[in-house]
Amino acid sequence: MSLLEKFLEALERNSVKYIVTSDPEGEAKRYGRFFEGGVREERSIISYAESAAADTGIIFFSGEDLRASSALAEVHVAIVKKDSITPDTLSAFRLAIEKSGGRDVFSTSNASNSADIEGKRVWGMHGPKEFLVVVGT
Amino acid sequence: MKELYETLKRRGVREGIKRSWRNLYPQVDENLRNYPFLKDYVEELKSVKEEILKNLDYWIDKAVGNAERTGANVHLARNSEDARKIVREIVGSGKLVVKAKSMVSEELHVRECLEGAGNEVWETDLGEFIMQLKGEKPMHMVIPALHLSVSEVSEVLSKVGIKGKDAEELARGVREFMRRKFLEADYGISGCNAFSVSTSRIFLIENEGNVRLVTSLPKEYIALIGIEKLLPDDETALKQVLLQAAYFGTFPPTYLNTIRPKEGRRTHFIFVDNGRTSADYLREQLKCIRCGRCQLECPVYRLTGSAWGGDVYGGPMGIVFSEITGGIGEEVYLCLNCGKCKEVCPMNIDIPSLIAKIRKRKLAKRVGG
Repeated sequence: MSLLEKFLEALERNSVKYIVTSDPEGEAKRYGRFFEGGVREERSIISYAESAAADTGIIFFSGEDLRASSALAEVHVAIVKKDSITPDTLSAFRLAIEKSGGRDVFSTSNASNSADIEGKRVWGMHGPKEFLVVVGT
Repeated sequence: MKELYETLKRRGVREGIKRSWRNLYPQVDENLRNYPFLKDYVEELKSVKEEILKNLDYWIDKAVGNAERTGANVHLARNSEDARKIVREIVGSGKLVVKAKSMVSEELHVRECLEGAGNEVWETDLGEFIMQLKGEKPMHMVIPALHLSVSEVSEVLSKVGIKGKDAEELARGVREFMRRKFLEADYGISGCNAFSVSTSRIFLIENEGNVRLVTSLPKEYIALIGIEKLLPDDETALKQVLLQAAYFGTFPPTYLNTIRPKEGRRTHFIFVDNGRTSADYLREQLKCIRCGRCQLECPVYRLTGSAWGGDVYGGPMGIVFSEITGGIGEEVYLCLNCGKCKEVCPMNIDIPSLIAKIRKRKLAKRVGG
């Protein structure tokens, strides 16, 4: 199984929606605006991932403003390039640190959720209600 | 002990714990099946933590020194009074403070201290927010309001005007209420799931997104770091937080945040000792990764929730942690010594033997031995 197939399998296990396309930017644009820096409260935000782990589906990003802005949005669209998929979480973390240029690294693997009331999972607790992964081949 | 007897009458506590156990127990098994590397992480982490605990003073000095070089305002709180004084002096009064759920902050009573100093303080984790409004301590480390029904939660949230008939509507109300607080807050306060000594990175995992907002939006940030959270480097810290999530039952964690001091924002790191370096014969407990498994599996906790296990943490690990951080009372004798907590603990902490040692010492003191 290729890393891409393994990654898609992990996304399915995590119940994360994804699209595989050769034009990730064009596809992502249909869902919102690209993150351009600064902390903003947008309905939908598109950002590039630094790396992604094929085994767990954990996706790493970098930058403090993106960390805040992506949590303020209702929809977060993540573009994951095929060549940034690594076999496991540790190697994905290492790659993210390497690409981050000293910025803080963080990860997202799903939409914001909570099961604090009677164990019932609700989505969009404080962060995005939807997390969409656009995988660029 | 009075609280304990009162809790025994509350059916919701038993039902909530049972429901959480049913939801989470199969998840832990599934996580270990799907991700076999987690077991290797456990073995590695055990030996790393054992080494650190042998020489905790060295690691504290190193953590403080490295953190100071990053530009953070670094403090070392020897006890809970120290910690409260430091936080009070940083925040002052008349401020808006948002908090992420943090057991060390519960241990230090930071929220109560800041409220007493005239600040508006909000717990932002859904369960913890419910318990704040209810005026009670969390019933579980990770699922603070597991014992409350939707109608009870609805009644509690109505105190701040949040209305709803089900979990979804209530959560939406809390999201709207809290969003303004996040955006307007002067201070954000969080705990720390793991601290990388070499890079001074704080690692925090969560599912709600509140930790992400608490630690990124406010003008100033305060991190409370229990010194048992010190780990040599980023990768060990990452392994610890992944294990914490997996053994609790939610994997992968929705969000992982790593935080270092940032230019343009004042950051305070408060390293908290509060009995940990003098834990002596109870030091093994400091290997705990706070997954909460020993709690949900314990037959006594199943009846009492965290009404048993000390003032803060609750359950088997709570008994030992309470003795370390402030002292445990007569409830230490209610442990059945069944050994289940040791069996389910990923770090294999021999909690029954630690509890037996506490008992022995207490009795020896009583009879003048």
